[in-house]
Amino acid sequence: MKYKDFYDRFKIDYEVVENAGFNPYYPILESGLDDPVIIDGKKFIDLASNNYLGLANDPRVKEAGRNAIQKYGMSLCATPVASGYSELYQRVREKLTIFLGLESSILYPSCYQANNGLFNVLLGKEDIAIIDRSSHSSLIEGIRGSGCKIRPFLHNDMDYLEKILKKAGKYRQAFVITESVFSTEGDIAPFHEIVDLCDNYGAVPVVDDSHGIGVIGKHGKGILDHAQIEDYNGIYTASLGKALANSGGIISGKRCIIDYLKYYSSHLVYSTSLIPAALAGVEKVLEIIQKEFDEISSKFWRFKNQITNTLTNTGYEITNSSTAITSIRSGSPLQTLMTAKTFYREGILSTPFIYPSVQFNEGRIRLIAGANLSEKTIDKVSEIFTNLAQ
Amino acid sequence: MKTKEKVITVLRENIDWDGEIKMEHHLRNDLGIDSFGILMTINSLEDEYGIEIQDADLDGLKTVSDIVLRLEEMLPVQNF
Repeated sequence: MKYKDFYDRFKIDYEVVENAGFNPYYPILESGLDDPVIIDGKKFIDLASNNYLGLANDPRVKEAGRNAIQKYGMSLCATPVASGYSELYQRVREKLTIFLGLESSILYPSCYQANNGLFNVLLGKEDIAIIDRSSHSSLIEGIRGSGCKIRPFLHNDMDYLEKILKKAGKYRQAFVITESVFSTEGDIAPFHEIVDLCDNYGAVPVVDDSHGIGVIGKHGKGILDHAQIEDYNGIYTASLGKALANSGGIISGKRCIIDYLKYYSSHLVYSTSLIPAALAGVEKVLEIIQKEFDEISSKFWRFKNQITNTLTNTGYEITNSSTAITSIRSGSPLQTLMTAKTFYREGILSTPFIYPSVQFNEGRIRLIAGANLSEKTIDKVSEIFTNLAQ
Repeated sequence: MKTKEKVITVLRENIDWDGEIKMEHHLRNDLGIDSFGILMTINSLEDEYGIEIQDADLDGLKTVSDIVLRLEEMLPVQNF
């Protein structure tokens, strides 16, 4: 009886999915990120993954992964603090640090763990976390877990942020936390202004550059490159599983902070180390970015612009994205799933966001066209959106 | 300004809502406010009244009226 009461608490509300006649979550892929991808034996155009540079299935990256498996096997079966820290891990850490122009870095199994592990260690109840209200769940859950005072500020609103900073002096330390590229909208934080405000008020900036690294900035190095920030005094985190096309998360910044995390961040110390294939894959992607970023980025920008123009011309309402993300304002959860269902029927895989990932009636459908797609595929996408509007 | 009017003013400053705000409006279902929206509203009210509201006191805030009532419980009578 007690067991039944307990398990009865965990019933999922499928009402919106049932009303839409479509569940877009956990699609079962039967291929890698090819053009097309295969689901349930059918071909789909992948506008859902974060494979911005199209390198997830690149032969050079796969070969690097295979070579790492040959040398190290699938896993070192240990945490980094024990015997899970290879020369490859050390080398990739150093290369990422140089790529970002920071002092030191450490690698986590995911960026979600990195963000959670970071705040848990650095913030306490004497501190205040001032966070953009549209920030990613991993940042929000991270600061909630730290027990600090939380003050959200209106999205990208610097006056609102400064108003809070002016009153933050009573706390031991203020942190200003934001994403660089907001993943559901595609807009970019005014990070140079945020850093200037932090400098003025003695706050520490923390930026999650998961959708920026490898995508924005003149050299594809992310938000610090984009905002032309040198001698960054804050903390930087990012995913290695989006443009960098592998898996894992990174925290970078001042050497003293990284050295401290190496011993005190339980999310790192007690998690099995990133697998060698992913580390080698990241190393190869960095090499490709440094040689080919101009060519690759011109391709995904061309695709993004074509999709955005088609949607705008056919009457869709889209967000003001300044990155490679195209995001459709899709309304209620039901309207959002119905729109995604229409795309799915036409062979387009998209990412629909409904509450609580976004505000209640502010659904979004995100489209990302990776550089691995062909011009012909993007023409097909334009044709589908145009036909749907008629 | 009465607590009710103050809450509505502060709500408008912190949420994306141009329509009428009524006491019986459900914060999430009618006004589309998420947990951060509620927190921002409460933070602004803390500043306004010079009080500190503990996170535990936010539990059960479902409607605009709930915020007004919670504040009135915490504030001295003369502030009404």
